[in-house]
Amino acid sequence: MDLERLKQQDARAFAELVAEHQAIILGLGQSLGLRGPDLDDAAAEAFAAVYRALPRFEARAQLGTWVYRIAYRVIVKARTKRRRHATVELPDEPSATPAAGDAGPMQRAEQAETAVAVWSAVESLDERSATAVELYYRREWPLEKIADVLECPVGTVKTLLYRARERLRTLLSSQQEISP
Amino acid sequence: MSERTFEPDDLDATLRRAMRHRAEPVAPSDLAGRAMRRAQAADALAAVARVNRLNRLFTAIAAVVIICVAGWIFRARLSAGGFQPWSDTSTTSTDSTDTSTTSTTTTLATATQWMYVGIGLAVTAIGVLAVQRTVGGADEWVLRWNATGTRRANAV
Repeated sequence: MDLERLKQQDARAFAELVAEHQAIILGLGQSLGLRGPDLDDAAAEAFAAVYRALPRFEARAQLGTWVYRIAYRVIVKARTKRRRHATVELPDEPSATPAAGDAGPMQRAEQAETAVAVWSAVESLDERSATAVELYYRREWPLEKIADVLECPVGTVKTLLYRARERLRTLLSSQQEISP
Repeated sequence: MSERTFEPDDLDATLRRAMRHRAEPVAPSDLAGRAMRRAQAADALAAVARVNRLNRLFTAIAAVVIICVAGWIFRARLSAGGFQPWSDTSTTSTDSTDTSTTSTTTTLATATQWMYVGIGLAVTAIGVLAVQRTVGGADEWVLRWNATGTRRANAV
């Protein structure tokens, strides 16, 4: 990607940048509990912030990491704002079920139910933990890269993941107790 | 923050499986274009928001000043024996020779002048507000709506 064109806010270069990073940013927003117009708005605001900041990009970090840092802050702000005007929302449709090879219908249904429970539990985590879980488990990023985005040491990311797993364990086991 | 042991287990596998199979959200159409429009509107929005903040500040100061002056005039009038009819000021000034009558006439004339000042201030304030709202009708809310107006369209 041509950095000089990006720094000059060239529309085509920016469109390429958006196309390259939008899936990760939308996924991050999704794991932080944003949906529909809220998610679209947050993504547009995140990329607008990136666009405004492009002339000041100094290539100290990788472009992708820099974009995700900005996007993370914007999405967290959007999440806080959304929570202030909290509305009841339906969980995601389990459209992409985690089908494990030759699993039977019962097993697939069970896995789909677990998946929805996991997504919902992740959304209830704090921002940093949910982001760490999203980037580590869904995107399979290395801990160092997650640490760069969250602007913290690798050890902190490990702690965040450890605490997130403990919290998710509690949440998921309590849900299993409730469901018949 | 202290570092903890981080060992994969069954939950780890469950989380990995569930998260990896989560459906990706559909990207809104022309996200880059929307972002650029938003970024370009941001400067104008910030300028209008700044002017509006100043307007609110000056309006608040003006309100405080008007209330203080009105209160002071009201108090002065009460301590001078209450409010007099308007006609008193024009008839009592020429006939009097007595010292006490002259002093009363002066007080009434001053109070009338203050009333004119008050009316003048009120009319000016209303005029300024009317002009301000006419000229600056397209304030930050309208600009904000123009910048983010696609939100509702996409929500439908």
